[in-house]
Amino acid sequence: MTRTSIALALAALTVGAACGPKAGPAVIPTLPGDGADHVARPTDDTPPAAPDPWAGRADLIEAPPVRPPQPVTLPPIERFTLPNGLEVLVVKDSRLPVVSLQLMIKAGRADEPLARLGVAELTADLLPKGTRKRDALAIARTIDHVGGHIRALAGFEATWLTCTTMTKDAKVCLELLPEMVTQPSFPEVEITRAKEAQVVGVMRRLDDAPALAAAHVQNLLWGDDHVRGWTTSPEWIRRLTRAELVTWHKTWFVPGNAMLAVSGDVDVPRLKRDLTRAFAGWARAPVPARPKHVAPPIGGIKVRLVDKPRQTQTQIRVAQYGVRHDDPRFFPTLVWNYALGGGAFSSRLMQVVRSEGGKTYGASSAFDRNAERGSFVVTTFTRTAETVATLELVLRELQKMHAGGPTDDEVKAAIANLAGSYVMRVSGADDLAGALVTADLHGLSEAYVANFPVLVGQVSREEAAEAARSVLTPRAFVVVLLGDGDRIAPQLQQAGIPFERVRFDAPIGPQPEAATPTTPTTIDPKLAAAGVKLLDAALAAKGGDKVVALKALRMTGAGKLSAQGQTVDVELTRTLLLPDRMRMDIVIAKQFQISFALDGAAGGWTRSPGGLEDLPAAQLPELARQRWVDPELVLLRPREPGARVTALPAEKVDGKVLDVVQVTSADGAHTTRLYLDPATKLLVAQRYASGGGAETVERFDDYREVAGIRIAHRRVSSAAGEVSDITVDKVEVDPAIDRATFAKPRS
Amino acid sequence: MKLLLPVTAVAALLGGAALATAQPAAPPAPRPRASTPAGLKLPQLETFTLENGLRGVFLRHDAAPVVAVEVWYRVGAKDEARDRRGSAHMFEHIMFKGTKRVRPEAHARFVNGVGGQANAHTSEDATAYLQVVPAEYLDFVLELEAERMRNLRFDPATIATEREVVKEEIRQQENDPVSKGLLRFLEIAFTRHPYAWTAGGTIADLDRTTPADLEAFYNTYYQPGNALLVVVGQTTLAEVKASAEKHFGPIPAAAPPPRPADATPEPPQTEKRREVVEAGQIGIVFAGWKIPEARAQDIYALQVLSLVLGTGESARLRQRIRTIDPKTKQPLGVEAAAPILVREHPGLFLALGVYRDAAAGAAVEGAIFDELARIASKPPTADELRKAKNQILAGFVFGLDSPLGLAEQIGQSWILTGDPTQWLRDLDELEKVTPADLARVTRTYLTPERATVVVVPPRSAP
Repeated sequence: MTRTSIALALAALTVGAACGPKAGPAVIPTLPGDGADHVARPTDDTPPAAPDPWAGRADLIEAPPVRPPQPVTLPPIERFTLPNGLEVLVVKDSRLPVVSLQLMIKAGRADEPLARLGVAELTADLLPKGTRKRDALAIARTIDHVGGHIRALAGFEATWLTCTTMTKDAKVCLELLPEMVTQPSFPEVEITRAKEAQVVGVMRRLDDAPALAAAHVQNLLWGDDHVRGWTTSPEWIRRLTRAELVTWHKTWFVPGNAMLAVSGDVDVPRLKRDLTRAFAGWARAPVPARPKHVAPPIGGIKVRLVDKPRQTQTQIRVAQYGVRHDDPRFFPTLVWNYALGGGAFSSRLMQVVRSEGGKTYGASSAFDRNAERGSFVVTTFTRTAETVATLELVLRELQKMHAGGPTDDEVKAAIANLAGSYVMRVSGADDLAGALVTADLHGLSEAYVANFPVLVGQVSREEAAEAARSVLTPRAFVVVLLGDGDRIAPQLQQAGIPFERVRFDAPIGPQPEAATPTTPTTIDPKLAAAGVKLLDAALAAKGGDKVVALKALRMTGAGKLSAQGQTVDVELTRTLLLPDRMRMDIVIAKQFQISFALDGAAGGWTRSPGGLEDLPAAQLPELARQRWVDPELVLLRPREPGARVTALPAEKVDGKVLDVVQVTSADGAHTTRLYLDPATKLLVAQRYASGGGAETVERFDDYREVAGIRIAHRRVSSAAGEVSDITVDKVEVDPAIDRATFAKPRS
Repeated sequence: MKLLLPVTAVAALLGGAALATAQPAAPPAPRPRASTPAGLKLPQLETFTLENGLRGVFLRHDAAPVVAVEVWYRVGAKDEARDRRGSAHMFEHIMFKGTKRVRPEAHARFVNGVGGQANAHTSEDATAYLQVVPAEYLDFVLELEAERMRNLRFDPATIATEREVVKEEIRQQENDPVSKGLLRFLEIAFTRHPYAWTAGGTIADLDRTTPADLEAFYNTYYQPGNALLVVVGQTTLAEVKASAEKHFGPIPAAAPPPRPADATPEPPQTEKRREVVEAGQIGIVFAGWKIPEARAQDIYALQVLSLVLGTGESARLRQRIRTIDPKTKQPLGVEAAAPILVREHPGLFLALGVYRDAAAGAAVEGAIFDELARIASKPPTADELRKAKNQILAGFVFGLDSPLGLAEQIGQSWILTGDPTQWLRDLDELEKVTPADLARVTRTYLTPERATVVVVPPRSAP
């Protein structure tokens, strides 16, 4: 059981669960490709094929013989480690008077918590915008004056800083790049500029149909609880603070979490001295663990129609999960994907959708080459009237590849191209250096780079077919259609394809207000009064003074916990002794027992099959948050000194309009949004951001009165792809509880 | 297959994929320039001409055991009839759709099958076909290129299908306000010359273009005397010449093709033209001025001016547009550039500003003209000039690493100046440019009354 799961279980009993201003996309039971009902077939009235003008010709140009795949002969590669732990590799190449530095930091968008979505990219943008020694203009002038390039870019898996100059100006890179990495100053004025540029980029995406479709398909595939499903927005960008950039940089930009590649015309002994001096100020520091993300099950077929009126063309994306870079099916997947859509004009998709159908300018398929499993996406577009017909062609090709794999000839062609072209991809010294660093990032070796063509060449037709069969999932995928909704929707309806429809300018994925309710610095007194009034009514409905007078509480319950694709039984007992003692006992799958407790000022402890230990200090804030949002007590929070309350616009949830009130603690550390039933006045849901930034949604149902207090007996909680569904079977109000219950056991 | 539209810089400004139809493979520098640094060994080009008029250029390059092979035809959008716009670009497609001795799609499949890549691009002035393959397939690729130079098939059904494909390419532009704004800009800037349209063409013209029209176009322009063969890579001049002679040699010479654009020169512009077009999500000001043809001496100074204004983070116009307004605490705009579109015939100098708030549009436009006025009245500093020249030099050296990039340079040089080796000699000319030259060309060409401005306003701030 993961730490998140435990926290979630705790949250669940404590409570319960979710609401949902955002209903998940509908699960679509059938679609062309899922069975044969809607699959487009050649019409019977097709005119007979024209005579083949090339038949019988003896002078046709034929394909030349292909040489078998050969390993790449790598130049000598030198590796060394600087005193501070920074690993360096050097690819020496003196053909041109050019030197390149590529520094990879093992942190990227994949490591961003939702609450700080965009922090990796904004941090990278700011690195060339000021150091302790130079402002942005001075940096720009320095690099521009030698005609060089210096860039910082946050990718999904890593952040890359690169600097290239002519050899005679190499000292510029050797000064600037270490300075950017170790001494960035994050000037506020440059943060403003960078945010503005990012906001414009996001807005521009609304006019850029391919980019917009790409963002939607990732969100539809991975959902709102997975980092790959999150897309930045003006709201996310604007809320990032300088302090968050500084923290991000301090946390991740440490020598042990980086790798430097130097390529080109260098003298290695001198380079070692220069680098040691240049990075001397970069002190060793602990390397943080990277967060793990659990892919949610796709759960069937989902179709999202993104309505952009008056478009003459529909962007089509079909996506499902891909394979990890170290998956044994990686090379076989390269091969079948080449045959399907990775091989440009040689691929089936191009042949069928473009060359035969004339429906598009381009059709392709690709999968992410990441350490973790990423996406597999088919990309094409067509005129609006051909939307569903083109989608059907694509799905038919996916189904065919899944069922039969590539042909012998396709496998040969794929190997010839993938293996043969590899040497061109790593022929430049900087290309090779980049490939070596990426291999390191993915836990692969130098030999992997050298042997890539051979490894591709070893794939058999059977292996490629088996990989296609197991990787492609024709009953679990997502489809995004971006175009003129009023003209596409009837096509989908006529084909019997269920779909959800969203506006093109609607936010994609979770947004700040939903994930982490923002704390207004000044609250409109009228809204504050309205919020207090609603919460007073909610407290009265719950039990009023009985709740205020509550001294202790013990609850037991049981239910299911779903995480990482598995569901297990859980039994929970939660004991509260106010104001500051809490204990949770959890039995998982009727086998494993885990207990936690907070014993006031004495701290906390946990006991699991692994033993008894103090709760790490890092977990205490999260437990404090859980206590603050406890559903039996959260209605009391507005009465705490300095707490801020504001009424928000009512929201429609599951067809019902609910009152919404946001409450923030005096120190600003905790904020939650409470959803109240206008009829019963009861709290039916709340949502807040937990420590990692993941949104937690709790939903409360089946209220029953116990000792004058109305207590929800069904609690469903979801966060970061994990869901707990707990039914409370016993509640004791103010039972006699010994304080020793919370004390750390001796063994 | 890519259209080389004059919007590369805009695409880069807006984030790469911004303009779906405008993503040329090559960087935006429309004309290669470089200075000769001490100690830098310049590439040694070797040239030859076959009896039928086909010119060849070879450059030895040993970075990898590969060759880049390009065939450039001096035919582009400006050679099209006004009611057949898009014809040149159609060939970029149908040249892969079968010849007498090569089945449809087989050309690209053969090249891919030996580990190579094949592509093509079309611009206002040229159409180019490119391959990169392992060096031992040089002769095979030359055979394929010679085959499609004269043996293309014009099957009506194939052309009908490919026409639909090209229409989808055009529709990508229709759905993008920035692309539409730029196309409108060209229509306004050029009243007579065919630079008023791009290689994309129009759906209406494509529908009226028959297979017979295309075949006539092919027979006119796809001739050895109108082409340049470029080979860069790990082979020898002897092998290149032998293969060229073997495969292209038997093709008969043809009459020089007509140059309809010569008859429709653009008249001098005497007053500012300005139009506000359909709004986009963000605002962009396109300002542009006609400049001389590629062979003109003033192009060197204009090239340097383009860098001073818009290349590098510290460039004048980029700094100006991104200055924080003390009142709003926000920058005027978010990005700017000053690309120069050097063409075989008189081309364009562009200045662009990208912004978000509608209220900032006038200020962005004003800043562009103000920066030019400053240079017209006071030449840039020697330091700025040195920086621009260093940028050109470094860009030149960085480009020497790529066989395909070098082949592109050679082809472009031939299209623009008639000489595939001219780009190497440009270095010395560039070095002669002075600050006073920049002020002079600004006063001569980039004046308010010669300007064309198109504004794509932003819809609204979020």
